[in-house]
Amino acid sequence: MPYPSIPPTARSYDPGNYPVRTYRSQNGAEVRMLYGNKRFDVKLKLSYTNISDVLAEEFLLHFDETIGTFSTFTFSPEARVALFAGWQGTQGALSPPSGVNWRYERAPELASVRPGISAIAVSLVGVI
Amino acid sequence: MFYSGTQGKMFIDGVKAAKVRSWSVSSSLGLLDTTTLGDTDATVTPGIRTNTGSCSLFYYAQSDGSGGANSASVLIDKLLKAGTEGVAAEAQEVVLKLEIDDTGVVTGPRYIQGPVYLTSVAMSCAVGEVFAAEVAFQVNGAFTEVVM
Repeated sequence: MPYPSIPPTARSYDPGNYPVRTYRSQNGAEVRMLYGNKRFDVKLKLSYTNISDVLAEEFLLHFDETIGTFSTFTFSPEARVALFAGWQGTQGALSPPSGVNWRYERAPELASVRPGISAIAVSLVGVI
Repeated sequence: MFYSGTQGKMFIDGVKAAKVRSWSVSSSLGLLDTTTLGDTDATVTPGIRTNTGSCSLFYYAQSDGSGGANSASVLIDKLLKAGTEGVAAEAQEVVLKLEIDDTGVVTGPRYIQGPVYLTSVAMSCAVGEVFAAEVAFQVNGAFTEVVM
């Protein structure tokens, strides 16, 4: 089962950073070492409020399918369109670099709102 | 045909209340926002419905000095409770039936009925005014019958 193609209610994106190590000498001079050419620790937080329990279940099933936070995955084209709905910049701007895949940062948090209606929050992290 | 207070009735636990001045009922629906990123207009899904109402009854006696219960006292006793050592009994649920009765029409009376808790009772005694009770209530759950 691919990641659910549902537009989120809210989305926050953290582009992460390149693997940079900073060293500071005693005189205050700073030396920065670049250890790679790919951004990592990209974070995507998505919340889906007031969706049906059936849709919310899809996230739980997907979380199970990826063995929780263990396996990485990519978004299908449909999911990508849904995830970045409303974004009018370049789609790639909100994507991790090639070779960086998503995994769950932690388990989705499900809240039941009323019978048949739930809210779910998903946190993803991009890893090399 | 139009209706007015002439056709209005109220029943307290199945007993017709006397000297009712007015009743009103209101039902409101809370909506849950389902708007997502990319939407230009808000979308909603039904949430919780809240049914409330109010009524006004004269507080009276059948005859001078007779005292005893009247519809207003029966109703307000569901909320007002004397305490013993600071502890009073809980408020009681009461079944209210609010009716518009146009006798003679085939369809029969129109009414709403449900279990309610009184949420407020207000009474004021003033010169030049008949003693009355203003009661507000909230339906506990859904109406049990709605024939409107």
